Amino acid sequence: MRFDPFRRRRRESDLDEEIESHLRMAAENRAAPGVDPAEVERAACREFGNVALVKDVTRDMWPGGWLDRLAHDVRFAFRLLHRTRGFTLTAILTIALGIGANTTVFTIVDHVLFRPPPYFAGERLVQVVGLNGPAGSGGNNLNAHRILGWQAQDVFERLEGFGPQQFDVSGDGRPERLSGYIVTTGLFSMLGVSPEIGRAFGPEDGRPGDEPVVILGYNVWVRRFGASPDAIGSRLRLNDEPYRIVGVMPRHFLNRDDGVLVPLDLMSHDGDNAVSNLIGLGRLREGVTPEAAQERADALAAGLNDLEPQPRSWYLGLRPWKLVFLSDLAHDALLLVLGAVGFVLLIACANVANLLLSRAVVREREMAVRSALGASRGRLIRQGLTECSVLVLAGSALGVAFAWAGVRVLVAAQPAVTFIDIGGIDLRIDGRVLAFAALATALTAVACGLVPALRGSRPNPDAGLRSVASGTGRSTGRMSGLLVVVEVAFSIVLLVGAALLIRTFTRLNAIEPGFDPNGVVTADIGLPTDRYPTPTARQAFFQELDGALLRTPGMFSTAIATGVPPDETEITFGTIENDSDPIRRIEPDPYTGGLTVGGAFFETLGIPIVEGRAFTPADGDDAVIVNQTLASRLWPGVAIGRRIRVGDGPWWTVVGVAGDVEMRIFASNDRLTLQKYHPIVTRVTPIRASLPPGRRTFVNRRVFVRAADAAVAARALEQTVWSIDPALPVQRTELLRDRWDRTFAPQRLVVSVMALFSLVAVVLAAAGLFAVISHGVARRTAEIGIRVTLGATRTDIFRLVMSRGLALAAFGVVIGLAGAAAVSRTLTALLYQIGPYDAASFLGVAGGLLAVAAAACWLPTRRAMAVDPATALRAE
Amino acid sequence: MLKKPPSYQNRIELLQGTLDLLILQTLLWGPRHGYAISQAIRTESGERLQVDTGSLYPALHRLERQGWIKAEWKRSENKQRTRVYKLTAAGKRQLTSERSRWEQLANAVAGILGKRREGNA
Repeated sequence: MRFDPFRRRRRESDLDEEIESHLRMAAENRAAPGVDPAEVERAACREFGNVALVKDVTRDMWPGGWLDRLAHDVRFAFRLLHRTRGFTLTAILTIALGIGANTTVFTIVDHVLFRPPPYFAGERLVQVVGLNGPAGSGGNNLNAHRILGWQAQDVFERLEGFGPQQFDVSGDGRPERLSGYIVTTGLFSMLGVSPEIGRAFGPEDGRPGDEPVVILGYNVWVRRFGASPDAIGSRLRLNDEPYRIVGVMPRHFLNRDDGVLVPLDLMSHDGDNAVSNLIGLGRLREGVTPEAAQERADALAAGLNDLEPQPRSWYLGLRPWKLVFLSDLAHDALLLVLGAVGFVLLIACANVANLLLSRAVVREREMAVRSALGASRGRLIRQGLTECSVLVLAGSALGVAFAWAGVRVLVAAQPAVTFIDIGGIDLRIDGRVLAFAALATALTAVACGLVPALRGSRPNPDAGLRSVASGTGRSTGRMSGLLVVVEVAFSIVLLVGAALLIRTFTRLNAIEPGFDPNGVVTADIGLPTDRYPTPTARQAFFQELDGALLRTPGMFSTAIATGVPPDETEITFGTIENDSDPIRRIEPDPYTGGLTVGGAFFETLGIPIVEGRAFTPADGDDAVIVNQTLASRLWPGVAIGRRIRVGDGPWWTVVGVAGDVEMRIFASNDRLTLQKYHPIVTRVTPIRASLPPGRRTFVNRRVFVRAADAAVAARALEQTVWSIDPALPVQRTELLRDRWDRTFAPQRLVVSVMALFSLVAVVLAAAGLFAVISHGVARRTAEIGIRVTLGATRTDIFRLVMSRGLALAAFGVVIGLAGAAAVSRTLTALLYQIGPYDAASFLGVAGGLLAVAAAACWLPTRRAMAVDPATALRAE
Repeated sequence: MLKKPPSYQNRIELLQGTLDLLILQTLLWGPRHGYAISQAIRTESGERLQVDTGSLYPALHRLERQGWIKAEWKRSENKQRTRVYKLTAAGKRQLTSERSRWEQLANAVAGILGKRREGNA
C-alpha cells in the first residue's frame, strides 16, 4: 500500500466513528427504564476498555502502521529533547566529538592504508621487483629485457615499469633538481589515467633518436609555467637537453607532483642495460590472488633461468602496492591511532548512556503511569530507542561536519603536520567514509540507548506512583556505576598507551647526537657525471668550493660526506673481523653504519677523535676510522694500525677511533651501534661509460659548513656554489639542528595525538564519575538526612560518599590496567628503550587517575556533608 | 480471551487463529458490525467467551487487510453510520479449511484425553 496521508486520516476518522457507534450500541443495549443514562454510558465505557489503547493496537494492524508509530515517536522525542536543552546539548556535543574524531582518523587511515589505488582495477595492482633468487632480496633493478620477457608470460594481465631519475633543470629560472620517473610508454594506458592537459605517452615515444619529450608534474606546471596551457609545446631544459612538454600529469599521480616523467620505449631498449633501475607495476588477472601469482612467477622464472640465464636472475617478487609509499613504522602508528580514537568513542558512548540512565530515573514516574495505562514494555523500549536515535543522529551529523572541517584543516597544514605522504592522496569525505560514519552512528545508538531503554521500560509501578522516589534508583545506580567503571577502564588503557609513548619520546629526545648540530649548515649537491666525469674533476670542484667558502668571513670549516646522521647513512652488512692473533669477530652479520667523508668532516660536525687522527689527503683507499664501540669489541688495547674487514672484502687499516654517533636505520628505531668512516677520494660510484642523452647519473654529496651565523652561511653556501657552477642545483639547504629535530617529527606527532585522546578520555571519565556521584548524593539526600539525625558525623558522610566514588574508580583502574597489559604488547614496535609493561607508566597512570577521581568526587562530597537533616527530610 | 487487568499484554498471538475462526464463522450468517460480532460470540458460547475490544478490533482490521472480510458503511435503523463487516469468497474458503483443521485438532486431543480417562478408571 502506498503511504497516503489522506487515506490515513480517513482511516482514523473511520475508526473513531466505528468505536463511537460500538459504545452507543452498547449503551442502548444496557438501557433499561429506571436506570440513569449517565450510569449506563459509564458502564458501557468500562466494558469497552481503554479506547485510546484499542485504537492504538488496531492501528498496528493497518499496513504501514509502523511508519505511523515511528513518526509519532520521533515527534515525541523532539519535544522531549527540546524541553531538556542542557542535557540534549551535552549529549549531542559528546557524540559529535566521538564520531567526528573517528571519522577524521578513518578518512586518513582509509585513504592511506585500506583503499586500493585510484587507478583502473586498482585492487589488482602489485609492485614488482627483481630478485636474485626465489624469495631472495632485491629492489628496483628491472631492465627492459626482463620486463618484455615477463610481458610475454601469463602471470600479469599487463606489466609496465618506472624508475627514478634525477633531472637538473637549467636555463631560465632557478636551477633545481627534480625527482622524476622514467616510465614505460604503456603505463598511462594500463592505469587508465589521462593527463590534466596535453597528451599521455604513447607507442611513438621514448625511442632513441626521437625528440625528447616530457610530461610535467602538476606542481611543476603551476610553479614554472603559471598553470598556463601554453606550457604544452614549449621547452624545458633537463640535464642540459631541451625537452618538449607534451602534457601535464593529473594531481597526485605516482606522488610526482613535484617531478617530471620521461618515456621509455621497451622494445627499442631491449638489451640495453643503460636503464636498469626500473620497478614494475603489474596488474594481476581477475580472480588471481597475489600469492597464486607469486607461485606461478616462481615456477616460470625457474624455467626462464634455464632457458636464458640473466646476470640478475629472472625471479620476481610481488609486493603490495601501498608499501611503495609507506614505512612499517607509519603503518603501525596509523593503526594505533585508529584504535585509540575508537576507545574515545566508546568512552563517549558510556558517558551518554549514563546521561540517559540518570534521565530515565527522573522520568520513572512518567513511565510508571504510562505502563499502568497499558503501554507494553516493547512500546516503551521502542520509544526509548527512538529518543536515543534522534539524539545520536543529531550528534553524528554534527560530528561529520566537524570531521569535514578537520580533514580540510589537515590537508591545508599537511607538510607541517604529517610525515606520511598524504600530499599524494586526495583526502576527502566520500561514500566509504560516510558509510563508516553511519556504522559508527548505529553502533553508538545501540551502545548508548539499549541499557537505559531496557531499564527505563521496567519501572516499579508502585514506587513510581507514590510520591516518594526512594530506593527505586538502586539498580539504576548500580548500572550507572558499572558504566563509570567501564569508562575509567578504557581511559586507563588509553593513558597507559600515551604514557608509554611519551616516555619513549622523551628518551628519543634525550639521545645525544654524538656530534654537535648547532651552528652547522648542510645542503645536498649532486654533480652530474657528464660534466664531472672523473673523481679528480669532482674533487677539484669541492676543493674550489672549500677554498671559496673559507675565504668568506664567519666560516670556520667545511666538509663533505655521502650522507648525514642519524638516518641517512651507508649501511653494510656482514661479519667484521680483525687481524689480531687469535682473530676476533663481530658476528653474525651485524649491520654497520657509516659514511664516506672528505674535508674536515670530524671537525666540522664536532665528532671527537679519541685515538689516532682524522683523515688527511694522503690517505688511500685502505684507510678507515671506526667508532669506539666497534674498537672496544675488537681490540682490548690499541686499535691504531690494526686492520679490519667486512665479510670477504678488502682489508682496511685503522687510522683513528671516533666517538659514537647516533645512527639508525631509516624510518625505524633500530640503532646502528657499529660505525666506520672511509675517506672520500677512494670510494666512488662506478660510472656507466655511455648513457643515452638525458639519462644522467649524479654523484651526490652532502656539504657541511660550520659558521658563526648558520642562517647567513646558508645563503652564502648557495651563492658560492653558483659562483663556481651556475647550473648546479643546491637542494635541501637547512640547519643541521633542524634536520636533527625533524628526525623525531613522526614520533612527536603520534605522541601528541595519543596525549590529546587520553586527555579527552580522562575529562569524559571524570565528568561521568562526577555526574554519577552527584546523582547518587541527590537521590540519597533523605537517607543522608536520616543518618545525620541518627548521629553520623560529617566525617562519616565524607567516607560514605567518597568511598563509593573511589571504589568505582579503583575497580575501573584495576580492570583498565589488566586491559592495558593485554594490549600494550602491540605497541612494542613503536617504543624505544622501555618495555610494554613499564611499571612506572602503569603505576603513574593509576595514581594519576585516582587523584582525578578524588577531585571529581570532591564537590558532591562536600554537598553531601552540608546536608541539613531538617530540610532534607522535608523536601522530597 | 478473558478480560485482563490494565496492561494489554496481548495474548492475541496465542489464540489469534481461534479468534479469527470464530469471527469468520459468525459472519457466515450475514454481515455484522463490531459490537454485534462480540455480542454474538458471547451469546453463542453461552456467556463463556467474552472477546474484549482490544482483541476484537485489531482482529477485524487484520482480517480485512488479509482480504477475508470486507467492510462497508451502512445506515442503521436510527440513521446512524455503522461499519459492517461481510465475509468474502476467499474468507469463506479460509473458514472451511480452518474449521476442518480445528476439528481434526479437537478430535486428536479428545482421543488422548479419552484414553487417559479409560486407563484411570
